[in-house]
Amino acid sequence: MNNIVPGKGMPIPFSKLFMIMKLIIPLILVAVLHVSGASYGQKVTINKKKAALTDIFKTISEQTGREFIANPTLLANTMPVDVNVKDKDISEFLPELLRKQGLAYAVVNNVIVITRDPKLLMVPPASLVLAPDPPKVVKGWIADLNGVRLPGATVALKGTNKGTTTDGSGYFEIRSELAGDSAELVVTYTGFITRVAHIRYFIPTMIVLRPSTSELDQVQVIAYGTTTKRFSTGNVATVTAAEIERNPVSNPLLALSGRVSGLVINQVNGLPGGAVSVQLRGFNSISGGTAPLYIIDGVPFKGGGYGSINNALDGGNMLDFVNPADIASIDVLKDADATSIYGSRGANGVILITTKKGKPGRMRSNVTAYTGISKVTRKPEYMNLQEYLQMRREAMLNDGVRPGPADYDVNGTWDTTRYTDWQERIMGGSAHISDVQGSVSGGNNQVQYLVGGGYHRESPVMPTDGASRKGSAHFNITGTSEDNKFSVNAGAYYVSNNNDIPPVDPTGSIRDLAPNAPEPFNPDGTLNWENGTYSNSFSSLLQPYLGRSNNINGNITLSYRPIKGLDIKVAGGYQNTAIKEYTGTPLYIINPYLTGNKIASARYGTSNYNIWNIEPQVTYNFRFGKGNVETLLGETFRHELNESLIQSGSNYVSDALLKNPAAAATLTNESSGMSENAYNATFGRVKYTWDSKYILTLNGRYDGSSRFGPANRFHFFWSAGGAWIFTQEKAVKELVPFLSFGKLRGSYGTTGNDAAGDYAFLDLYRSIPYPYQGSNGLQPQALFNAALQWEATRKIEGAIDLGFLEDKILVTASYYTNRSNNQLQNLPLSAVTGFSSIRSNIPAIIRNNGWEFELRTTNIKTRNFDWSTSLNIALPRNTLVSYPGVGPDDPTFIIGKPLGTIRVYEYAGVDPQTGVYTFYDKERKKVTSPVDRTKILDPVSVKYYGGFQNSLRYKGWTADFLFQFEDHTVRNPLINGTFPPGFQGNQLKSRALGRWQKPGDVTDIPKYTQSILGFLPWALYGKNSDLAYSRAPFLRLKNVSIAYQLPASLMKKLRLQQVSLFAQGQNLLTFSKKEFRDFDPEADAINFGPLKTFTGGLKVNL
Amino acid sequence: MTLSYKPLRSLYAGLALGLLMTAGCKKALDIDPPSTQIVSSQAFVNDMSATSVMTGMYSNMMSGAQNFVSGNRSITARESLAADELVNYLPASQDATLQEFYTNTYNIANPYFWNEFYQRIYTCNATIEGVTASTGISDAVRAQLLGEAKFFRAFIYFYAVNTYGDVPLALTTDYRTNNTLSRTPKARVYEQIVADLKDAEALMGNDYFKGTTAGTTERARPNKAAASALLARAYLYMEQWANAEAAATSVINNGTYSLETDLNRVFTNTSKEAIWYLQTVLATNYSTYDGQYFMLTRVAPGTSAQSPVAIRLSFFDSFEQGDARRTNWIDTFTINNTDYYFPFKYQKNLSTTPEALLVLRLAEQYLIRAEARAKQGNVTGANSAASDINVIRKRAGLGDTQAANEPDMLKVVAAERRSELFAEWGHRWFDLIRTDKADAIMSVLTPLKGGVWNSNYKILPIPYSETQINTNLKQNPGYN
Repeated sequence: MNNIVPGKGMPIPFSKLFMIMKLIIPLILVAVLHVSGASYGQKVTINKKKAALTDIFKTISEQTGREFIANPTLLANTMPVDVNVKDKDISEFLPELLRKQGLAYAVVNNVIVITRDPKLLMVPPASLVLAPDPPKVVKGWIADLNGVRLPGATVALKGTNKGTTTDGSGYFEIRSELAGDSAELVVTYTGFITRVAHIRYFIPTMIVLRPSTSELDQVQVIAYGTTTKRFSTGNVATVTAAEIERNPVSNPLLALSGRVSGLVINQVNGLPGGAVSVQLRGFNSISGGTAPLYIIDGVPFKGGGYGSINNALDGGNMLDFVNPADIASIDVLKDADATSIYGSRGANGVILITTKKGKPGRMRSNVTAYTGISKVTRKPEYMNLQEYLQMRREAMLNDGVRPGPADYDVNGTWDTTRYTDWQERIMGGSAHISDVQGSVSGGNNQVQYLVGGGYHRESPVMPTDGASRKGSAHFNITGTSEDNKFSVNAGAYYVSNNNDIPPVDPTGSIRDLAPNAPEPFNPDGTLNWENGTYSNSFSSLLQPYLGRSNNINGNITLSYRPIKGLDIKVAGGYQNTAIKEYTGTPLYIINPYLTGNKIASARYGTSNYNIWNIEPQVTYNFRFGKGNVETLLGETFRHELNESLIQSGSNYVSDALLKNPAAAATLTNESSGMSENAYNATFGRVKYTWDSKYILTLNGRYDGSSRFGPANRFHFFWSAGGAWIFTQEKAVKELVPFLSFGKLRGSYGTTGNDAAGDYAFLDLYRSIPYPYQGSNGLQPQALFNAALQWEATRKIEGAIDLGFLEDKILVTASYYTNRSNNQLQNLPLSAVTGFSSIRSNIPAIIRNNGWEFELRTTNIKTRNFDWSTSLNIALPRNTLVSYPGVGPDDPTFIIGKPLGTIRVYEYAGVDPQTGVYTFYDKERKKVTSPVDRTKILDPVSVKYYGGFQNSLRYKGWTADFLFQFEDHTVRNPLINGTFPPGFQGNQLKSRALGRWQKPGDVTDIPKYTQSILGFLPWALYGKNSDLAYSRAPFLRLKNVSIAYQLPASLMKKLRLQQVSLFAQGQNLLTFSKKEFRDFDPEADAINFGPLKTFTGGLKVNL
Repeated sequence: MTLSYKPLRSLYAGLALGLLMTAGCKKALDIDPPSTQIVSSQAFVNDMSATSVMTGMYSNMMSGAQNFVSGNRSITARESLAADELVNYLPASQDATLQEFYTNTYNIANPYFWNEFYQRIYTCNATIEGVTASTGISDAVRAQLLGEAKFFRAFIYFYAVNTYGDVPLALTTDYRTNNTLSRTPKARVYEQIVADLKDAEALMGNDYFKGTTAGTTERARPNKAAASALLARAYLYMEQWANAEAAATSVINNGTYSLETDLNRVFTNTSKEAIWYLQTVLATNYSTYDGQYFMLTRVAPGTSAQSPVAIRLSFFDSFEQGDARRTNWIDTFTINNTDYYFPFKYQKNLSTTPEALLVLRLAEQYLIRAEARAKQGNVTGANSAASDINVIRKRAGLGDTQAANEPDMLKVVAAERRSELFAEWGHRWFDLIRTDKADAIMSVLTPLKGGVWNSNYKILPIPYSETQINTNLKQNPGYN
């Protein structure tokens, strides 16, 4: 009950002691009643005249079981009141009752806290004011609407340079020499509306801040701290839990798609747990280290792929082991100001994930459940039986041959009247998805907690058994000492994933099936091999796979505040991800008609990632002149250990023993790896905000990594960012009154990329497994490069943020240039050195530059109807500026073009006379076997991309629509199958029907052929020509979320806080060029693309 | 209360200083080396591990079918084809390199022996540096390893100058130095070879080492005599006759070595005339890759990449009547009524008496001394060229030589070298060049083999990629 007598320096006049006693007695009484009492209703009945407020409170307490807490001085001067209510909720009469007295109330932890009415600055009666006693002091507390004290809020005395920040209990004191009996205070606090409060001297006053609804004041998590868009000097994009919750996805990265300018998220694989490609402001590195740094609750998380032995997953993605429902926000840091404090690891940007925490207040429980289905976004249209048989026969005719002994589809072996739509049969089904999440949270000012758990299940679209099941648990607890000086926060989350979906992407094999291919299964359920004529592609759908992964992350922060403004913290974190996988090739899926040994085999993969991270930090915030100084100094100790083992076994006595490596007659260790790295760094930041107008941020990090050579182990990274909020200038305010916010900001700095791999600088020796004189030998593996160091990226950004019409329209435009040098490459060496190359830094320069635009508008905002819109567009450009020793004809690197640009043959059309592919040679002559790759093509970079979102609310209804658009070049379906049209295996109508048939036909589809002579030009030249690639701009309705919140009146009857019903959809509509009508344009056109998902669910808050 | 931040600032500064002092602490970055591989400092930490670096090289050379010591890429196979000993039957489509040596027409894109030579030299240099710096190695092992590494470095440079002419002389592991080296004149490289071998002679003893311990019957690691034997050969090539004689004499008089009277025992791992051999490490059907590649057992030469060659008929015919070496070291395989002759020095399966790949053997020392003595005018009599030649001839079942003057004796020495050392380590080819016979013989023979003889082709081109990466490396004449 420390709230009864809040804080320090409370002057209690002796004459008022009696009054306090009077208050305390009923409160004690209330407490006793509460302890002995059973449950109480919320309704009260009071009929009192000229009663003291304390009496009213006492009555309410008795009837509802709620306690009251109030500042005695507030109650001391209240007027007697008349109350006559019957069976009413306190919220129906108490506000009005208190308002008359200049008071308000808030419910905290089931306790009703009486505060001064924030809307009404009631001047207390003069009787309370003591005789002036210079120097004059203003004092009080800063609290939010719930009465929760806000430590660290800035309080400035208007008209002076004086100011302070509140202490752990939200208390402040400022001495003033200003004349008069009151002072004007400007109170600012991250995430709240800045407030000017008029406070009388000496009277401790509770100043209540309202949370800002402006986008500009939303809290953004940055490196080792928080900020808001208003006061940030860097480029940070924030995605909130509300936005993440709208996406029925299991990998949180997929929820970011289209929501962050500058971030391209592509789901390159539609299987649960499949790979996700992440590109933040382009590729900075040649040798592949382009993944951003992931940090979860301050602990670096090993993201990216984990080298799954399940080939269908394309390596998988580690973020799949993080439960989206546990996430409170994801912040994407882009420019130097935001990322250089991460030193050698910030070059590719940083993705900060913050998990949910408990809040002070009554216990809240909520349960969310949804279920739904997924389907492939596009169904490819294959030839029907007639078209197919016609194709095969025409191909034979063109080649002048009769059906051969292996042409089972047309040589009479297979029934030519049988037809199966294999696409429908294998990929036409629905995947099922279901998800349940629950959490309980609550706490008081001293302790807050949150405990959550969830279950997610996803099955594949293919007609197979198996599903990906994910169970998760999450907790977070914060405790603060009575004096608010010491606090501890601990949290952990755990995700266990169990995936037994067959490791196969059937997209390609469906295409290779003839429409009259035999039934896949015999009546007894075994695979049908049709007497050896049918290589049954259903066999791979029966392949066993089991991937089990367990990910646990824990973190703890201890912080101590010895004096106001100074915080000493130690944050520690730990990640352990253990993955075990198994794939089997049992005898029952091996074609018994194949010649050669038919032996069962299996592969086993085990990997384990361990990271610990300890960061002592000191922050000290103080006023300096008319401004605020925030400083940070910290140190990082980090250690990472990765272990992996891949084994393959063969010759098992029984298919049932495939999971057991010990049952293999031959067990081979394919690879075994163990690597460690360690980091040690000192970092610091100084941020100076002058008069909420000029802001300067300096970041520095002295970073060291064990990955680099001893000569270059440490390096200093730094950045400077500045912002000018010009709408704070009087002249600007007067000149453009409709401009509510305007900020110019810029930053410059350095960051690094440490993707060298562990031990890359060392001269390692490996063991030679053939004993000589009975002992094994050692062989040198690599040269020692003491100078090996990180890739360095210099980032420059300039941006303008504008708000119009009271921030109803917010616009941001930013331009950035990132220049990356010191590329980690294998530098070719003369063999005289003993080696062909050395891992070194090459002064090759890559530039990423571009524009990013964001627009957020609040179109309508009324009591019943809200409509807001946001749009983001990024126009990136990637250029390989220089690469030493690269000539103009270099096959790999093309100076002045985007990284990853390739040389291809230039397609010149199908010869109208002969019906075969032709290509341009150097002299622009059409040839059938080109030598020179004359065309330059960029299949990597994205030309432009972005998202467009509309959020609507009408009473209890909300609807959100997110469109995503992107323009990139991918391999197209036209020429990227296994065989050209004419061979056994079906073909897409769009790429096979309009073929060349007779001299004079002009088409891009060559004559049907089924001979190797027809195959080679297609495979050797066609697939390596510009014909095989297409620009695939697309617009996709990425996410739809419609929710209905049941009315409050109904909730009361059900004794529930809130219930909403929702329906969500992912990838619902996709608009793209006609040539992509058969495949999803987001993925490469020959793989399993993202799925479209429809779900429906329920969210209940108890 | 307005904040008085001055005392706080000093507190803060103190904290800052404390943090800074712990920062940049190298200790925090010390991590264990990978458990799957080891770093060089640990490679030379004690006798066992330091020895395993040279062991690894021997093992590596003997475990691959494609090394310069044996098999299709060996000096033996390639230079025997380049000379007049073997005929290549394998189509160029299957192995272009064999055909290139056979037709004496080389391709500047092909690295041939270059990369492997320098890879081995790196290991020697690393051993010399590592062993010198290490404090954990016993004196005996240190001397042996330094000796081995210097011996082996000389051994490689000997073949490097004889196959490429002037070569860059890399004597350190520092890639920055080695990456820009120019070619060192052949004579200077020979000086280094002699210096290394003299060091090796001084460092090593007469006992053979097995791993870290001295005193084994296995002659699988070089010893002092091996260094002397190679030194004798180097002096012979340098035409320092007295030195060559002295070095060869020290080996012959050593007492450990004697010529095997049974020719079929010469190439075994218990051969009495072996000065240094490489041990077999692979469990194939044959003890050595030479045995596997030269022996014709089932198919005609050229039918398989594992049976690419046979002996040139004219070479077979050059043996004297009654030469036991022709009957013991050459065998015949008949298929489709055609007789193919093949080198049969290596003939054994692993299951019978194990063979070893002989690198240095006593017979060569007699031949070196014979030539050196003849060059110094000591042609006949006791302790003359003739007495040495007669030791070799006697073992081959032949009568004493009749040569009585220096030119005749030199011809006899050449003929005996051809018959004794055929299909072994390119002796024939290097002798032709050394004695200036190559142009005369090859201008006739090369066209018969399908090539065009060019005097420049006595040595190989520097690999093109090397001249591109290191512009200090100038190409040999006749190649561009």
